[in-house]
Amino acid sequence: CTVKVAAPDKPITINLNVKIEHEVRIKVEKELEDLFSEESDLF
Amino acid sequence: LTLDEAQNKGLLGENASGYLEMTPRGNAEAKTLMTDINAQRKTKYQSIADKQKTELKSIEKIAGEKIINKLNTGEFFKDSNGQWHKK
Amino acid sequence: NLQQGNAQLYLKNLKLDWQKMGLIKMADLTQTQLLNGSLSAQGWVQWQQYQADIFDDSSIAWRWQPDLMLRIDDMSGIYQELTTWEDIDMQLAIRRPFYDDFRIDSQVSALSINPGINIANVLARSTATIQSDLSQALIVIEEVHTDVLGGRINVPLIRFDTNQKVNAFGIEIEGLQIEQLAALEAGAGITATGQLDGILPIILLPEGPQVPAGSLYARAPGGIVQFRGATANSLKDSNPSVGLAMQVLNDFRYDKLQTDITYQPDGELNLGLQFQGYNPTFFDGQATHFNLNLEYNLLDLLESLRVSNDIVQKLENKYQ
Repeated sequence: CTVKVAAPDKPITINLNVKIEHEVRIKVEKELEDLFSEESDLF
Repeated sequence: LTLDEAQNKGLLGENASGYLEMTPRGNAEAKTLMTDINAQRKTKYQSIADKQKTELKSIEKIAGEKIINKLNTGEFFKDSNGQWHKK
Repeated sequence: NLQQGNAQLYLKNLKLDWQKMGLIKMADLTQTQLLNGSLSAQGWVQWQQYQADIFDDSSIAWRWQPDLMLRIDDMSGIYQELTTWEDIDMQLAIRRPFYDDFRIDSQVSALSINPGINIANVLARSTATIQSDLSQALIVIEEVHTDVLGGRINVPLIRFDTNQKVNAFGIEIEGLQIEQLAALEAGAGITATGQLDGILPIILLPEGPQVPAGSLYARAPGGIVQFRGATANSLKDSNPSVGLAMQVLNDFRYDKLQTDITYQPDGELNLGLQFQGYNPTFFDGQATHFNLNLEYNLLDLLESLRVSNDIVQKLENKYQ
């Protein structure tokens, strides 16, 4: 991220890059697989 | 009574939201085992739900799909419409 | 003496249910689960022998000519557990004038098609011309209208020629509600207002749709963006310059916004949001140009929306 604070009459410029992960289902499945193996007496 | 015995004898089956359910063959002993295990499963599902910032219902749904897929042949499960099936 | 024959077809409100239609195999083949709907059909099929090669008397072949009207009412179903559709009405006319190319004219309306984001009130008309040897098809889809994310999407014309490797068309977007766009990221804690308009060129490649470069613009007078909550705080602590950006985004008022969009067939979506505005408490409201580049996978977003909104289950419950 870069920020250029300028003189009052000039606009301030801010650049920001954000990468959003979405593999909710994939993460959930992985967590469940770990749960099934760690707590095998429950499943 | 262990979980494996209860499932092999068909006293308990899995349902579509990742929990155990008593089959028509179930008895009091199976029932207490079921209540105990379901409570533990729920807390585990809840911690995943919180960590992934998703509804508990979604975790239960995915868990149900995976558990039913992994059942051995001859074990019982209830589908999302409430119908009992034998694997 | 060339032979010929014909058959009449009349079908009234056949329930669209693979099992009841004795087509249970179709469920797996089409990967479609039918929940509701009925099919009616009327018309005839005519077939006749003809001499294929006028110089060769023995070159007798059969050809057939359909003239059928098909009508589907209130069809609801689920495709590959990925997309639900509800209340689709369809009228199809299948003809083959003078034994030449096949022509299928159709009109489609759908209450909702939902791959994760609800596409509502869909209307479309199309004409498909298929060569008699089925080697090539030209599909022209006209006047597609639909409501999405609080706005409307119109597609005046799509020409899809199966012989072309690449087919392109433009979609017109009107009044997309930024509030609803922000709400797609339920957990992120973003509130935003404003409306987006613009035209997106879509290219249909063999591996899927692509948006090489398109832009949407916020309508005057613009709107606000407030990025608050756990995610914002964790970003704030990540490093100083991000902290500053979060400070601005805490209560940012913009009057100009240009959104540059690129999308790849594998789902990779890039949004370049160029805001012009100010935050009243940041350098006492000095004009600020805020360029936010968002990179995420649309297909993963749609899947996570399907899971969290339980779209498939809700439709199943409605029809069982």
